[in-house]
Amino acid sequence: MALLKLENVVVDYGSIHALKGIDIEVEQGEIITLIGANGAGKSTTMKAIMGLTHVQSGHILFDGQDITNRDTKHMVQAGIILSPEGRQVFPRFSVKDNLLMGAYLRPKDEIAQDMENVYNLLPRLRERSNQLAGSLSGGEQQMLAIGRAMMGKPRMLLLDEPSLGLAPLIINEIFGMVDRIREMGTTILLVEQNARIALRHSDRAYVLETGNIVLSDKADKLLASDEVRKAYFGGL
Amino acid sequence: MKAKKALALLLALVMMLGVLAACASDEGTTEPATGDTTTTEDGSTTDSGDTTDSTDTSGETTDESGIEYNGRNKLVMFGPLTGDNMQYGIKIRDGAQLAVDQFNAEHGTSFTIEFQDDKGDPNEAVNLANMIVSDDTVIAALAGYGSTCALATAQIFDESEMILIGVAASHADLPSMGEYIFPIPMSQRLEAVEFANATEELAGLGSVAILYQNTDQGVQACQLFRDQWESLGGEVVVYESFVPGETNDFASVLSMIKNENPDILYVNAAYNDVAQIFLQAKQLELDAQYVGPGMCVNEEFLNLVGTDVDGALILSSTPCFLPSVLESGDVDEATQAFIDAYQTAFGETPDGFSAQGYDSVNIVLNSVLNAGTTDTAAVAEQIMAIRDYPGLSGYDMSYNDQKEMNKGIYVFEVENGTFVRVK
Amino acid sequence: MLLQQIINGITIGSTYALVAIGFTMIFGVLELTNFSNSSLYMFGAYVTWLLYAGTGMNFFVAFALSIVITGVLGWSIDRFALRQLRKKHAPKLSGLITTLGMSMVIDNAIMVFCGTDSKMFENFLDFGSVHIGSAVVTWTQIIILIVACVLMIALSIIVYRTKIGKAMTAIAQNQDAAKLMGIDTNRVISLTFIISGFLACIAGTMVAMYYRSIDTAMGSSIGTKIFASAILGGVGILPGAVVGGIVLGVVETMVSAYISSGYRDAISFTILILVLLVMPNGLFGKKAINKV
Repeated sequence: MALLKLENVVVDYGSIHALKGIDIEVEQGEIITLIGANGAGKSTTMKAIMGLTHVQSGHILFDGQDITNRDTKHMVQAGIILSPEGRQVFPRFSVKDNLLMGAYLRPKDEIAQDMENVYNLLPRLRERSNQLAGSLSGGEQQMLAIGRAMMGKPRMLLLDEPSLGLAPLIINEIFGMVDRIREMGTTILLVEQNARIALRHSDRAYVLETGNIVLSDKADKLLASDEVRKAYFGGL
Repeated sequence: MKAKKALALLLALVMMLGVLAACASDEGTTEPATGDTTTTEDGSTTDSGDTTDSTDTSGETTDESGIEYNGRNKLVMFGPLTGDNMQYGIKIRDGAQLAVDQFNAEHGTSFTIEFQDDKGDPNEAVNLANMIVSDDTVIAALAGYGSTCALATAQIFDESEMILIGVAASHADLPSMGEYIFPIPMSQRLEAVEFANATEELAGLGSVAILYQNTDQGVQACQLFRDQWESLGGEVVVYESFVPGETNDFASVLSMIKNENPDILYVNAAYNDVAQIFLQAKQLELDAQYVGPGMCVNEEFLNLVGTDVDGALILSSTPCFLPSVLESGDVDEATQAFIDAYQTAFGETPDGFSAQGYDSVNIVLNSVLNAGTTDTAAVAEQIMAIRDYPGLSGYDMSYNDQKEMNKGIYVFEVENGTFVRVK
Repeated sequence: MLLQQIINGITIGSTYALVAIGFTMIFGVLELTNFSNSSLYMFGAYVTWLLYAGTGMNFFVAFALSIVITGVLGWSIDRFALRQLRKKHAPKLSGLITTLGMSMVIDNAIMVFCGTDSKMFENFLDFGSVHIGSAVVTWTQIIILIVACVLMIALSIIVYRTKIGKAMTAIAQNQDAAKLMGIDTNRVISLTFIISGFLACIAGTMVAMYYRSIDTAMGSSIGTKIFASAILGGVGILPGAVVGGIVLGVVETMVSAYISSGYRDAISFTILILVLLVMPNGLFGKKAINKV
């Protein structure tokens, strides 16, 4: 049974049909990517899963449980955590406090160990643990956002546009981390504009176009596809 | 057809003649011809909703008073029936209503009074004034509370040649704003001068610190007090104003005053501010003779100050209606009767404002009675001629040539939670 | 005289501070200017009065009850009005106007129910005065200052040291991100309003005792002062509200004593504007780090 399943999910923003009935499945242990142009509905999908956006119709099932339109808190408790688009770290908190925020729902006695694990995964954060998050570089903030999400010990990590605005070297570093996170046992659903690098690190992918899934296949097949190349790798 | 037209014309002519004949037979009567008067001769009080209503307002009198109504039998009073000052507006209204009811009962007249809410806002008052002057059944208008609304509407009434009574308007400029404008309270000019005299008499001619509220009334009153004090040879060491309602905290200005060591602290403000000022002055251990204005003569002031400002003097041009004071002191028959009637009608004791409302109505109605007509000039002449009128809001009430009201001053000392009259 | 004036200023400033704390907390968490805060201040004082003077119950019991009731009122303004606006993603202006409307409703309800005249309020903290040189300080004044400080410290501990306080600060920075942490934002916001109500009631009752009276203008007259205190100290910053309040109180008093009592507010606010021109984020405010 799929860990995460979206069945015919429809999301409307007023008269704009952001998602027109999409179906997605993520199995335990997979890394799945959602690619598509700007405005295709990628971030909307993430928000819908997390209960930040209202789902008009359709279902979202996590581990068999219907989580459609529930409070965000519920998703976090169930084990899905989002590292949002634009990082959205707490600028006035230190790196350490940001991480602690990620552990908001965790039992107190486990937090220290979790933080140790995150620092091991992201050594640069350990160096800057007392620095104000607002003063970090873009790449560091992205690492912080991921680290913060990991503090919640998610079974499934949602990553929204991790490469946005970052230099190639940093992007590679971050995707290296994504691999390591999967090795640690966390399933990953990824949304990315930089289709090439995302596909290289994923098992399968879905292509989203103006609210509809138009393609769904193994990542390497999509990487090789001319169609996809022309549409999504141009200019990168 | 011609014949039909002629017939119609004839019928119309006949009807017209009939109407004219009927009218002609009514001309000249001044005695009550109809039997629908409802006068009561025993002088019993009526409760607030009742007005004796026995006129046909088509033009001529129908009661025993012999007054030429000329279609006018109404008084209109405008005042704050809602908003910050509604407590005063209501007291004035009730006093006025009682006066109308009693007057009608005693004289068999058929006057009525109408009350309009100006919310204490001069703009609203102006709107009401415009409505009132276009109402042909109105004999006189009464401006209920304070000077601001009276001053704002004075020109309208003057231009329409309607009598305006300022029931609680003590601003010195009011009488000069129109030929038919009369204040009921003692003129502030005369009052301020008498207050200064009374203060000198009771507290000596020392140095005085004046603290007053920055309103039309406050500014005028204290300027005049200061002038008189200085002309008596006294010294004014502090002259400070404050904006009422902005704050309850007078500690800063009082500390400053304390620093100047005055003999007398003279305050002119609303009673709750005076209470605060006196209490805070005591707290700061400001040693001086405290003197306050007539607006403090009420139960609430005593409640606010408790026994903490004993020795303070309160100057007033209206008497004190508090039960505690009335029980102890000398109350004349007329005042006692007024209190009892008011209590019966409204379930509360009257205060100085009620008395002013009461006197203002009586002054107008008595003047109408004396003039025998509601004609403005004639009534105004009668009002002007008032000398040593025994009102309930003052003794020896007289109008001078400038239409200012002059009367005697009362002085009370705050002692043990009540007022004791010392002059 | 200077010492006396400073003491006067600190006293009146502490009363501003007490109410400004609640106001600034809500602004910090929601970026909402809560106009109803000053009405709750008046409401709290009146409820305390109604309970102890009207039913004759023990004053401290009445006070405690009033604190609870005011807290509930604060909570319900959020729960039944503001939360619905948040759900619908209404513009910030709607919230502001709602609190303004609530303020008018509460003020007028009190006026209708109790009348507009001042009521006498007994001072249960009247323990006499202390002399410092030629200055006179009453115990009531000292207690007010102590209470303001204690509350400030307590609230700072709550906001900066406890988990739920951190949640408040997180929501203040980024409400959506806070939700992603699993924070129940509605509950935390409710708590902020309850605390704000508690503070307003405590301030209102203490001021009532200090001036020994309550009246229906006390809410509106302190409204602008709180606003000014919070801005002066840096909106959203707790110690800022306290310092802002006390500074405003002292400035006001000095102006009233040494320049003019009549122009006291006008001059005080002019000074406030000048300070803000130089330090637009207030005394404690830092330029917002929003680079994300």
